[in-house]
Amino acid sequence: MATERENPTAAATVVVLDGDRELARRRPLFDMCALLSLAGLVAAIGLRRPELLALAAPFLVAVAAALVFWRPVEATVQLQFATTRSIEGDEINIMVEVFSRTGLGRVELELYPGERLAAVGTLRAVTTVRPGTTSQFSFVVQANEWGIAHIQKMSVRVSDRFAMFGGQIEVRPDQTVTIGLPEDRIEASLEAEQFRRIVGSHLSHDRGNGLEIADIRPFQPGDSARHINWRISNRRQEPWVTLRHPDRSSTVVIIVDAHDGGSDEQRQTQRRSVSAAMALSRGHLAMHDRVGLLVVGHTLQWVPPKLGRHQLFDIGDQLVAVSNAPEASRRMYRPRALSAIPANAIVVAVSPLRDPLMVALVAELRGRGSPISVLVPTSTNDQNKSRLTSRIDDQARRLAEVEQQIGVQSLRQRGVAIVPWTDDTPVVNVIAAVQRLRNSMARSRSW
Amino acid sequence: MLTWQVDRLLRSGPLCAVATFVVPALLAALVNATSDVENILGLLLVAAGIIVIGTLSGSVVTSGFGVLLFGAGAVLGEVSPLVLLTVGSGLFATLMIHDLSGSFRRAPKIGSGVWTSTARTTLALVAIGAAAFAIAYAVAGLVTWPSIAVPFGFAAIGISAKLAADAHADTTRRYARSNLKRR
Repeated sequence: MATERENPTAAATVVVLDGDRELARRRPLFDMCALLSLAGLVAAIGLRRPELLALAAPFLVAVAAALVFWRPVEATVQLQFATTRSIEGDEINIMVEVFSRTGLGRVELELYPGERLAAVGTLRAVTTVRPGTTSQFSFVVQANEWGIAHIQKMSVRVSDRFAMFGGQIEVRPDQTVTIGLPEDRIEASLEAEQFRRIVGSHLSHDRGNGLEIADIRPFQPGDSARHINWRISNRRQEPWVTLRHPDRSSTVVIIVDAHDGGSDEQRQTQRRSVSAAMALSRGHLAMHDRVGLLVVGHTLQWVPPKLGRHQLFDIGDQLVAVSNAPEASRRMYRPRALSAIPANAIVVAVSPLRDPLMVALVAELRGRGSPISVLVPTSTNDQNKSRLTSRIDDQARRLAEVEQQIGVQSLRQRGVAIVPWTDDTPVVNVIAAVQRLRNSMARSRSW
Repeated sequence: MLTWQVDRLLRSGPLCAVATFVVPALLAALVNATSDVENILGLLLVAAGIIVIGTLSGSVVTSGFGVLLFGAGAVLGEVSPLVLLTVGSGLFATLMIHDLSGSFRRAPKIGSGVWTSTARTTLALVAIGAAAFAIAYAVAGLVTWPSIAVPFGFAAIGISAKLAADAHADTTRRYARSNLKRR
């Protein structure tokens, strides 16, 4: 999902270390030095052998100096991702800056990446900060899995220059990175032009040059006077024209079934669903179709149909959020947004149709007369099935399959084009299958 | 340039751990060379081994015990005050390297100033310690001093330790309170 905006820069997490007591604790080295110096002193005085002081003198001086020169920690630690958006597999830079007005003897930083990020090289750093200066470090993590990623925690350990006093705090940075899916494989096979030929080509009901404002620019010879934007022209003291998107040719609403992604198979299905939805959105938006998105399942998101590049970003954001939605938090299959789907919209659902409520939702949409097609991502990988050694699990799986078949059958009877999409089948073949289905259904209606 | 090389050399915990054995081993060789006592080298090397075990396990208590044992061995070796001062300084540097090895675990990125700052601090403390010892040794050599030092010395140690601890705790508490008010 290549949804990078220009120069995306994340806000920074700033941690202020200002006299925290956690950072003013005695370190074991202090206790040991104090003990050794005390032992040397006692031995020297008790045995009346002043030369023994030679052994204890550096330890004694270190303890005294640490006590005399100790100052509360005053510093700020700033963590910032180099980008807010990335693609699965890309590397992301994380900048960490440590500033201290009074100086820090030693600072140890360590980042613990969340489950969607993997460390590239070390995520630990040790530095010294001189008074009034800033130390900078750059860490690299790899976007491991699509979704919304974050740094789980950042550990900051400081000590004074004598390594006698210090402490550690842990911070949970609130910055996130949106990791999209790589689209190269899908884009080649799932072209919107092909898909639209199948699911229907609708002419717009609107007249004129379109309503959606695309841009404004200074008036050029050949521009129609009707396009002059009087308000901006008045403000800039020269004629400016408003550019508009051409009329949409159709409205496409994509429904993504964000069912629970607990198991590996479900996560893979979810991933394919999101990939397909993103590819469809990109393709149709590029052809000036209005595209909307409805995510149903354990999360509920509705993006009304719109044109333009920003719509792609919004759809991308909502799709990526699917992976991070809490399990079964808002399990609602009859969303209010259902009534907001335009009656003439082409509806494409990407769903494994495992849930009867999802089947009911598709049936309801079909009942309203919307042309609807369902891509059913299925897995050919039987590895998970072979793991189910329990008889009860096996029966449960069979029951679920039967229930799914019943749902699919009932939808087919209602005229919904349902095409199974195995992970080893190119989407072009799936589209051809949809075409055949729709043709056969059209013939049966003409009878 | 030399500092940079040393910096590179010590940019990892394991190398620091090796250093915590090498430094005491060199000191042991020095003590053995200047001492007439038999088999002192064995005792000192055992102490050096305890120090490196403490470094590898990240236990400052173990390393501290090794330092204590090494110091006792050096005293038993009946060496000159200058050698004892060298041993004390070396043992202190060993404990500082032990502390660095903890920071260098899991091969972090290390700012260029860490090693130089630690080295500077250690050298300064060693120099001040040597100066303090020289003064103390000279004063202790006066004829009348030992009779005064013994009773008052113990009291002075206790009082100064108590005063230092109280002052530190008070400063911490005061600063934390003012910080709370500000928030």
